[in-house]
Amino acid sequence: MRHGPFFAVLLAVLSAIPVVGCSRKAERLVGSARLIRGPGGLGATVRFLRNPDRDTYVEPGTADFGDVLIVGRDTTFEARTFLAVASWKLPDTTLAGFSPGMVSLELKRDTTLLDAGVVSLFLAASPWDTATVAWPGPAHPTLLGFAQDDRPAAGSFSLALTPGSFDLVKQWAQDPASAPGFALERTGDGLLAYVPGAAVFRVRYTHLVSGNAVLDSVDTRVTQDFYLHAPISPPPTGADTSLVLGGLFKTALALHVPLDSIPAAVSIDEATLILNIVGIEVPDSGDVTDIVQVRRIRNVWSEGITEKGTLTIDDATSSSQSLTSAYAGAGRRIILRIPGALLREWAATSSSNEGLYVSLTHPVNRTKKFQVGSRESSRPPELHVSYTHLPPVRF
Amino acid sequence: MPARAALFVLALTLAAAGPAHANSILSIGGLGEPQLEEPARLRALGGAGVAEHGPREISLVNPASLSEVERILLEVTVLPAFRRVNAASVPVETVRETTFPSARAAIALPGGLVLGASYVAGTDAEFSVAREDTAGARSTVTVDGSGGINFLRVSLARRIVPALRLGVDWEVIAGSYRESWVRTFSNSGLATARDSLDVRYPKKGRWRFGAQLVKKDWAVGAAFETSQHLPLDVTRATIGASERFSGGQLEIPPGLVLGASAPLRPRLRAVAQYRRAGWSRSSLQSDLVDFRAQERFSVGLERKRATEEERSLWARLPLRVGGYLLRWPDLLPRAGAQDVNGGTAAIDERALTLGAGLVTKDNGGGLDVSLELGSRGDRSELGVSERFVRLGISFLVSDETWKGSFHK
Repeated sequence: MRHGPFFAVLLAVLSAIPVVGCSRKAERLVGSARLIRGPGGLGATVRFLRNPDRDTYVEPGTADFGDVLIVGRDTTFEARTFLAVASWKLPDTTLAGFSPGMVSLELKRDTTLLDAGVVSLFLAASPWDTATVAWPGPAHPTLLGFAQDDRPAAGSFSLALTPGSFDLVKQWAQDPASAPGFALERTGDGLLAYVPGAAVFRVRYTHLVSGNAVLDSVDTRVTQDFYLHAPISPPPTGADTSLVLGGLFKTALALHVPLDSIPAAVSIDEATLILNIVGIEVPDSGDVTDIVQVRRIRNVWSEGITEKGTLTIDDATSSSQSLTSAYAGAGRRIILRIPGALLREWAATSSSNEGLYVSLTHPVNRTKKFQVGSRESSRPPELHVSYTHLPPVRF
Repeated sequence: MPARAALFVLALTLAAAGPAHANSILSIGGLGEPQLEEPARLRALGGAGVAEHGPREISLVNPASLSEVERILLEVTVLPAFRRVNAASVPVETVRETTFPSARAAIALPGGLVLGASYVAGTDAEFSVAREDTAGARSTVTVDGSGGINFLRVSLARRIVPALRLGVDWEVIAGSYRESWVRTFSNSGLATARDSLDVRYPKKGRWRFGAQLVKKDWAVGAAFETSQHLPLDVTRATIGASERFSGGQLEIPPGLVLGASAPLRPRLRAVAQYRRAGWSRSSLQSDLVDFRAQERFSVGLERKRATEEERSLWARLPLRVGGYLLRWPDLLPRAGAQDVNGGTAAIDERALTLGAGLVTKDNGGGLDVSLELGSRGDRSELGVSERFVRLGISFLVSDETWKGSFHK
């Protein structure tokens, strides 16, 4: 007995059934007053803000192994660059008609600091330990050469060593300890910047090929470079009305905001650190590469600190945002999102709250610094917190 | 081949279709919308099935109704529905939905025994609602609820003497209640909150005993179901935090069903049924819902189909008409009240039911449809009422039907 038509009709009907089922998004009921969950309503959202009970700003230290080499002086900021060579390369002196020429230090310009001036190269008197080296650095009494850096554009700056330096280079090659390092300084006011990792010592020479003099050169790579700068001046006191973020000293903020009033079972909707700009400088389109990073501080600290080294800071960032996107021009505020989980932990265990370290990285304008209102000012930093209680029970 | 092509179309459609959900505004609180588990044939009779008996006339209310099954049966019911929600504060809203009230398989065993297994929807707590909230910070709360009480049932039935049939169900009370809360703030500085609320209970079993007395075309049936206590476990969670606590105890109350089927004319019969579950205040201690006994009064008339010799399609088509009054057990807070202390409102559901069906030539399978036109709720008491149209479709297949269509 066949029932083909019966099944065909039946299955066609069944096929249509899922189609007539509801589409939830299209048919969500709105305005339902029947969503009744007791006197607490649907779960109130609580908002509050806290100001710091400790705040200051600190510098990362006087040695900078970062993305630039600086020489020169700008009011209280003074910097010199140090270079070291692990091993030297010499030209083949047995070549026919070998004759040494000029020895120079070749530096690649960083265009972020453009004050033209005279740059001098010195031989350091002693080696240094990179872990402890600090301003003013090792003595460097021996002048090896100087040159005017006119800063016409990006490119290389060639600083010629005094004539006869080839003999010195041969000596350094035979006994590397005789050249423990080099120092670069700029005379007078103004700052110059160079690209780290790109400097070489170049030995030029001529030799005969088929009876003709040919000019050639050998480069020795600089294997270590960094700059030292004078300590921040004036130093932060812990009672300043403004906190300095960024600038030549690359200062960063240390803030501690007490937090103990977030219930455990809530949904955190907002955890925002707001820094109010009180100075003249504000972030603009020129600061497009600037990144504001927030890290957690792990140790106890006081407002009297001046250096980052006294803080134990997480390597991982809690928050990392573009400065320009974090800045709200209307209120002259830098708005930084903080992970809700961090606040939840602080609220649960107040002893784990040692505050936040706020720093600025990758600035285009290295001299630009932002003054942020401190807790002693009328526009102190604010930690905004909003939370909503978990859904009320159904029964 | 047409059947195989249709099967292929069905498979494709099911694979492509999104999930179907209930969306009653009255499922937002309490235990959810009480479900009628019966197939379309009995839905068309107002749900009066406790006295049903026969080789394919099976009811999910009374396990004794399985006792005359002679082969393997598989029955699935789907229920597309359309609602119009009339609330006091917003324009009329419309909702479509599809639910699956039950699925059942039965097999005749040696010794006159019949074994059955079924899935039965008890309550349906599916809903989706978006509402503005101004507590603390202006936001829009979107709540998607799902779950409800379900039963997984094993049945055993036997005809004891020609007039007496007995049956027993053992069913596991399954299901849970889950809500997903998404709160979006008007203030862009506030991140969207994504929370969840889960109410679970251990899966426990209970019994249902059924009996039928059949004399010629007369039949009476009764079923009794036992109670069960379920400790509720509530979990509220969000990103990074959760809270778990006891939600009290839910008592699934004992229930009773009584009904009869009486011949009026050779092809006409009347059915009636009274069903009660003893929900009460002690069933669940809550400030958000109170309970009364759930009662369903069902009546129906069926004009049976004519014999095979009758050539008229009209004569061969069984026709059913019925109606029911369902008194929901949930007593929800009155409109404007924050909880039951501010007064409660009951939900009464009334519907007119119609239906027809097709039976395969082997008399083992068939397609039944029902149409339910009804209303429930009360704008003055609850602040909301619903009108609904439900199309019940039940697909019954026996082993003979299967062989007849696909293997010959």
